[in-house]
Amino acid sequence: MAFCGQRLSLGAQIPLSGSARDRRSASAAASASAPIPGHHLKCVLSSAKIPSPKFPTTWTRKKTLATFFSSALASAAGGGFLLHLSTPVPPPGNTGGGGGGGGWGWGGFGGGEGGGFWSQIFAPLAAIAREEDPAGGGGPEWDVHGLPANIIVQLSKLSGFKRYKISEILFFDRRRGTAVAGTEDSFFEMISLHPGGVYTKAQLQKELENLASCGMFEKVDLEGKTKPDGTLALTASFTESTWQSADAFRCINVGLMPQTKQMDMDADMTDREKLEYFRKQEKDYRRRIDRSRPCLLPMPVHREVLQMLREHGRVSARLLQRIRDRVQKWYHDEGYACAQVVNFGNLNTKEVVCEVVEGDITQLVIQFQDKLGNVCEGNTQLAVVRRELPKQLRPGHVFNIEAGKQALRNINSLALFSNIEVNPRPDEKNEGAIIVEIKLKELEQQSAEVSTEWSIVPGRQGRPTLASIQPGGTVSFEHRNIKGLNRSILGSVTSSNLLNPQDDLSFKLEYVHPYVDGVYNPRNRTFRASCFNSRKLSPVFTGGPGVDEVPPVWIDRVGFKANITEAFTRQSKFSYGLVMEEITTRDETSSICTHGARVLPIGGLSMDGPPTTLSGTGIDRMAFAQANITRDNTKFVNGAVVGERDVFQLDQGLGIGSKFPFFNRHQLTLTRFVPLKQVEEAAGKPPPPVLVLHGHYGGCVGDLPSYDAFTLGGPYSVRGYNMGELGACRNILELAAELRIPVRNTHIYAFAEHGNDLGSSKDVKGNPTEFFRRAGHGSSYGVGVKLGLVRAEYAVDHNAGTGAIFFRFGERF
Amino acid sequence: MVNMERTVSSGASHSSSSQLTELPASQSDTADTSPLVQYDDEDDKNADPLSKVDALQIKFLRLVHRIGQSPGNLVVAQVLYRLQLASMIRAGESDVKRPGLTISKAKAIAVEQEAAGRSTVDFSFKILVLGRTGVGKSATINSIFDEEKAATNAFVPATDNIQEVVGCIKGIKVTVIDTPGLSPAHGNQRRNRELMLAVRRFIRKSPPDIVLYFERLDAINRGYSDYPLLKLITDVFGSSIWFNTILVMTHSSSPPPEGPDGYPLSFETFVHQRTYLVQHYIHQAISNSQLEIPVLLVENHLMCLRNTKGEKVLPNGQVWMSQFLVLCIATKVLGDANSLLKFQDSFQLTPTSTRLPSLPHLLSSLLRIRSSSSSGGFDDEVDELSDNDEDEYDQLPPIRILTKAQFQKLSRAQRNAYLDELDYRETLFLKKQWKEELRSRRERMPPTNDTSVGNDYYENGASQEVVQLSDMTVPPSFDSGCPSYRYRYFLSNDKWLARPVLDPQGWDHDVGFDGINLEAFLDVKKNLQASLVGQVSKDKKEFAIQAESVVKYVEPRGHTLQSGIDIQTAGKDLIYTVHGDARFRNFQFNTTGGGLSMIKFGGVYFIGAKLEDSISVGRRFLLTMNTGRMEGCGQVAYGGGLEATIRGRDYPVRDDKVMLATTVLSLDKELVLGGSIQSDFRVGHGTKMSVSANLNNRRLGQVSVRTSTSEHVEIALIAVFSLVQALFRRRPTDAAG
Repeated sequence: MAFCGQRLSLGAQIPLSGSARDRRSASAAASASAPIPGHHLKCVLSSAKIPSPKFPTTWTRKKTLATFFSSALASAAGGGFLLHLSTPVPPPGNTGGGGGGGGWGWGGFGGGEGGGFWSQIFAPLAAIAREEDPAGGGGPEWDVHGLPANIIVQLSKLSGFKRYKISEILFFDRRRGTAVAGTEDSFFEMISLHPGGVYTKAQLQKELENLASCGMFEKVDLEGKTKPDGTLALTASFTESTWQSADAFRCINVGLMPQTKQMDMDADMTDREKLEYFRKQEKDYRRRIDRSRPCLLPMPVHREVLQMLREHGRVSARLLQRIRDRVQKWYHDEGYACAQVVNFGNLNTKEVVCEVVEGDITQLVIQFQDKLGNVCEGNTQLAVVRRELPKQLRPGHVFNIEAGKQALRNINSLALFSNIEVNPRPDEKNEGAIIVEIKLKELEQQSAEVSTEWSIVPGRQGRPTLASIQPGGTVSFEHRNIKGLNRSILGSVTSSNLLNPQDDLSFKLEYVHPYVDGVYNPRNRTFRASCFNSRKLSPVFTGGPGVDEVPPVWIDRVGFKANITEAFTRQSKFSYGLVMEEITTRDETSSICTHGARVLPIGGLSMDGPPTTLSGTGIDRMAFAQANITRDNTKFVNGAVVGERDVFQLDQGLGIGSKFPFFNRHQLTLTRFVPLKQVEEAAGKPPPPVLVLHGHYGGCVGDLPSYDAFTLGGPYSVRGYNMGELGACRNILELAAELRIPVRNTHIYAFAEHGNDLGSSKDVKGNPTEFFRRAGHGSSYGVGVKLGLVRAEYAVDHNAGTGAIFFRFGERF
Repeated sequence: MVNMERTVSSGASHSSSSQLTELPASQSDTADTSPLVQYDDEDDKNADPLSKVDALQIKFLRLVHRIGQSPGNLVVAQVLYRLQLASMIRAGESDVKRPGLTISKAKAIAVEQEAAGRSTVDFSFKILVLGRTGVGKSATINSIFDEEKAATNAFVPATDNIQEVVGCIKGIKVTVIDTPGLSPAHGNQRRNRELMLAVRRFIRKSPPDIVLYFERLDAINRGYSDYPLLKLITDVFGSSIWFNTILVMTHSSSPPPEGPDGYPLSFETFVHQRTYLVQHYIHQAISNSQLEIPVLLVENHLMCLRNTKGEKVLPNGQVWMSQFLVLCIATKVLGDANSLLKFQDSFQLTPTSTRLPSLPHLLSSLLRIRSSSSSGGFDDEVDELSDNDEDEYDQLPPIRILTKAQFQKLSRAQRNAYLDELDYRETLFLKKQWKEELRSRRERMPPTNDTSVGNDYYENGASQEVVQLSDMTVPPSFDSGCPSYRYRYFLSNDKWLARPVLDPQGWDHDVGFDGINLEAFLDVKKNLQASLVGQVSKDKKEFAIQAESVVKYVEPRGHTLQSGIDIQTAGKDLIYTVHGDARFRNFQFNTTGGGLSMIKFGGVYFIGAKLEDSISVGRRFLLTMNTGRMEGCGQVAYGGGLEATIRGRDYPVRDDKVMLATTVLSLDKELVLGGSIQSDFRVGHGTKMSVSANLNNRRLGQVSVRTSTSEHVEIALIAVFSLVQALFRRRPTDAAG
C-alpha cells in the first residue's frame, strides 16, 4: 500500500486531533490517501567546507550545496495536517433527508427528495486497525477460521476471539449486480483493509461502520467467504449513493471559516418541524456560501468539471470523488500543496458546491537554531530575512510550494546560514490555517586563520637553523553579518615573508554594506569597497599563431575600488563606482619594463616593442569612474538557459593620474537565448533546443594604455584561439552564434564566432597587433558538449585551419 | 641516347641540355666482366647494403666528374666522408670484417669508369619547391633547365597549381614539383595550410628526394616574419622534411645593404647574416639546433653576370648552377645511403625531454597511505565506536539556551561553565549524529546521495528539482563587468562535483578559471566503491591532467582490496601509475597490507612494492609501519616508515591528535632519514591549532603553525603589520624611482 509509511506517522498525529473525535474524523484523514507530493518542504542547505584539494592551485572556497527534497514523510505530515482540517464537527445543512438516520449519513439513503443535501464522501480510515496491525500487517499470527470451506459467513457470525486473515477483498455493486473490477477503482481507496492483512472481528465491524458512514454508500455490508486454506475472502456489497443530476458547479474556499454548529435533530420531530429544520439548514448553508471567499480554481477547470457533471447525469459518489481528484490535482500541480477538498455540499440541487481549504497562511515564524537544534536568539535582524521572502509567503496568502522554494533560494543567497528549513505547519488554533515556519542555523560570524611557516636549512656550522626568523604564510579573517545586517569585512594577506613583505605580497580587503537605503526600504542598493592587488599576464603582449617566444609582460595592479550596486531583480543590476589603481608592468624577471619585447634570432631581446604604459615609465596611476548596467532576464527552462541579457559597461577617465589620462571605454554586449521549441516547464521534462546569438561591441576614445586595450581571441572572445592571439585594438566587434541541442541530461552545441578589430589595431600605441604578428581578425567554429558546468569543445581556428580540443569551466555566454 | 653520349663526352663543357622526352630506362651493362663489376650499378639481389653504399659512392663520384666539379669540392668531400663514416658504423655494428672502399680507391674506380666511357649513370632526382610567393621559384626552375618551363611574373603570383616539370640536366633526369607560392605569414595561414596539405597529397606516392625552400636574399628583415611558415611546414610535413632541404636564396645579386659602419657589407657577410637568420628559425621550428641546412644562392635575372662560358655567376664569382647540381646530387646520395643503411629511423630530430622522475619520490608516494576518500571519511576502524555512550546525548537534561543579554550578565566563571557545557553537548551531539550516519550507511550500503560529514546532514531525496545556485563569487578585479553569469548553474543530484581551478596569475581582464577539478564518488555495489579525483586543463596547445581513480572493495570482515590508476602529465609525457593494495584485518587490532605499483613514464617502467602493518591499541593509539622498494632505470630505492598516532578523547568527531613519524629512504647507498611531528588540538572553544615540524638528516626541514579561530580574531592583526611594512618599503623605492 502506498501509504503504509504515512500511516505510521499518522498514528502519531491522531492523538493531536483529540481522541474524542468520532470515527468521521478518522475517515476524513484517509482522503490524504492520494500521496501529496512535496507537501512539506524542507531544505537543508549546508555549508560544508570542501576538503582542501590536493592540487596546489586549486581554487578552494566555501561551497554551498543546496538540496531540495520532498520526502515521503512530507505527505504524511500533510496527512496529519489534513486531519485537522477535516475534523470539524460536521456542518449541518440538509433539508429533505428521507432516511435521515444512520449517524451522519444525511443526504443519502432516501436518495433524492429536496435539495441542499450535504455529504461527505471521504474514504474511511481504520486507523485503529492499522495501529493494532503488526508491522506490515502480514504477521504470521493469525487463526484459521475453522469453518467449512466456501460458505458465506456474515460478519456478525465471526468469532470475536479469532484473528482472521483476509486473503481477498471484493466489492459488489448491488445496483448493477456486478463486482467492481480492478483494484484502481476509487472504492479500493476507501477501505483500509488490505488483502493479506490480519484483523479481528471488532476491527472488521469498525471498518464496516466506517464504510457505512463515509457517505459513499447508501447501504453497505461485509460478508466473508471461507477459503480452504483458512483465510477469508471479504466481499463488500454496496449500493452507491446518488443524488439528482446537477448542471452547475461552484468551488468555494472555506478555509479559516468558523465552523457552523451542528444542531441536533430530534428523532421525534414532526414533519413540519423537520421541514423548518431543513429550511434553516439550507439557509445557513447559503449564508456559508456567501461568506466564503472565491477560489483560485480557474475557469477551464470549472468547465471541465461541468462537462463531467453533464456527461454523467446523476451525481454519484464516484463522480464526486473524480471531481475531488481533478480539483485537487489542479491545486497540487500549481504548487498549492496544502489545498484540499474537504466537502461537497448542496447536493440534490442543481448545483454542486465543492468546498476547498486552500491553505491560507496566518502566520510566519522565523526561528533561529543553534548547532544542536535548540531554538536560540539569532544575531541576524529579522528584517534581513523577511525582505527575502516572496509576497506569497506572507500571511493572508495561500501557501504555495513554489514560493517556499523561492524563499529558500533567496535566503540561501544571503550566505548567512548553514541550514535553512521552510516548513508549512498546520495551525492548531485556527483550523484550515497554515503557519509557515522558517528555521535557520546561523554560520559562525567571525573567523580568522593564521598559518605560518619557517624553513629549516643547514646553518654555518652545519647545524640546522631556521632560515630566517621571519615566517611566510597566510593571514585571513572574516567578519560576517555585522550588526545582523549582513555587512561583512573580509581580508587576507599572503606573503613568503609576513614580517617584511617583498614583491610577492598579495592582499585583499573587502567591505560589503547591503541595504544602503535601509533594510525596510524595498530599494536594494549595496555598497562595496575593496582594496587589493593582482598580478596577471597581459594578453596584449602575446604572439600570433606560431609565434611562441614572446616574453610575457605582467600587469601588476594595486588599488582601491568602491561602487554601489542597485539590484533591480536578482540578475539585473546597475552599478557605478570609482576606481583608483596603480599599474606596474613587469617582465619575466619581475623588474619594471616599459616596452614589449621580442626575441631576436641571435637570442637577445629587442626592446623596441609597443609601450606598456601610458606614462612610458612602466608605472601608471589613474582614477576613473565606471558603470555597468546589466539587464538580465535569463532563466532556466528545464535546465536550459532562455532569455535575454544585455550588458553595457563604461569606464570614464577623469583626467587624474599619470599624464592626466582622459579616456572613455565603452562596451555593449547583447546576448539572446532563443528557445526553438515551446516546452512544458516541469521537472524531468526535456529542455528546448536553444539558439544563442551574441554580439559584443567595444570602443575607446582618448588616452588608452595598452593594458586596457581590447583583446581579440580567447575563450570568451573568439573560441579556438589563445587569449589575445588575434590582436589588441581600440574598437572591437565580436559576433557569435551557438545552437544547443538537448541530449539526455545535457546538451551538445555547435558554434561559429567571429572577432574583428575594425581596423583599429593600428591606433593602439606601437601597434602590438602587428608587432607580434597577429591577424587582427579571425573566425572560428566548432562543436562541443556540456557536462554540468564543464564544457568540452572542439574548436577550429579558421585562420590557420587547425582544430583543438578545449576544456573549460562555465558558460561562454 | 646520342644526346646522352654527347653529354658524357663533353663532360667539361658544362652545357646543360634538357629533354622533354623521357630518358631511356636503365641501361646497365651486365656483359661487363670487369673485376670491379661488383661495385657497379645496383645488383639488387645479392649485394649487402655496404656494397651498395660503395656503389653509390662511385656513382656519386662519376656524377660529380660529369658535371665538372672536382672531387675536391668541399661538398663532395663532405659527402664522401659521411658515406665512409656511415658504412664504417654499420660495418662495426654488424661485425663485417670487410675493408670498405677507401675514398681514394673509389675515386680511382670512378675515374676509370668515366674514362672507359662506360655506359651512362642511372641517376635521377625529384625536387619539391616550396617558398613564399614571388621569391622566384618558377624562375629558378626555368634557370635550371635554361628554358621557359614555368610561367613567371614579376608582380603577380604566376603559379597557381602544383605541377611537375621534367627535364634532363647533364644526363640526369630531374623532376621538379613546382608549387604555388605561400602567402606571407601574417596573411592567410589557412590557405597556406590547405596548399601544403595539397602538396603533401601530391607527393605521397613518390616523395621528393630534395626539397628546395626559397627565400629572397634581399628581402629578409631582421625580425624575420616568416617563422610561422617554417613552423607550418614542419607541422604539415614533419620535421624530417628539413633533412633533405636545401635553402635557396634568390635575388643573390642584389647589392648588400649598408652595414653599421656606413659602408656596404661584404657579400659574404651579408649572405652569412641572412642565411644564419633563416637557419636559426628553422632550428627553432624543429627545436633542434644541430641540423645544418645547405644553402644555395641563385640569381635568375636575365641581366645576371655570366662567365665566359655563359653560365650565370654570383657576385662572388661562383657558378650557382653547378653548385646546385652538386648539392642536389649530394643530398640525394646521402638520402639513398641513409635509407640503405637504415639510419633514418635511428636519428631522432626532436630530442625527447628525458627528465626522469626521482626514484625516492616515487617510492614515498607509494608508501603514502592512501586516504580512502571514497567512503567520505568513514573509516572502518571507526566502526566500533563503543556503544556504552550510546544515548548519552538523549539522556542529558534539557538546557536553557541563554539570550545574549542573559549571557552578558554572567560572571566570567559562569560564562566558561556555560560554554563548556554547550561544548560538551555539542561533542555528544556530533557523536550521536556520527553514529546515526554510520548506522544508516550500514543499513543501506549504497546511499542514494553522497553525504558530507559535518554538523548538518542531508536527507536524501530523489527529487529532480531544478535549483539554481546563487552566483559564484569570482575574484575581485578592477573591471566594470563581473561575468559571474557564466558560472550560473542549477543544482542537480548527479554524483559529479566539478569546480574550477583558479589561476591567480592568469590573464589580465579575465577571471582566471583555468582548469577543471572533478570529483566523483560512486557506490557501484554493496561493498564496491569507485572514486575519481582529477584535475584537467586543456588549451589550444597545453594539456595537463592529474587524475586518480580508485576502485575499492570492502569485505564485510574488514578486509579491503583496492586498485587504481593515476595519470599525470609531466612536460609532454604522461606518467601512468597502476597500483593495487590489499589490507587484511587479521586481528581485531591489527591490519596487515601490501601493495604493488607500476609506473610508466615515457618508455621507462618503474615497479614498486610495499608492505604495511598497523596496530591499534585501544581506540586512540595507532601504530603504522611500512616498508617498500621501487625499481626502475637500473636503480633500486628502498624505504620505510614508522608512524605513531595518538588521537584525542573525542575521536572521531573532534580531530585532536599527535602524530610522530619517521621515514627512511635509500638510493645508491645514500640514506635519507627524516622525522616529523604533527599535532592538532583545540585551544579554548573556538580555536584550533595545528603544529607540524619535520627535519631530515640533510638538515632540511620546515616548521609550520596554523591557527584558526572563530573567537580570537585579533590574531589577524598580524596582517596589518605586514601591510604597513609593505607600504613603508614602497616609499623608498618610489622615491628612488
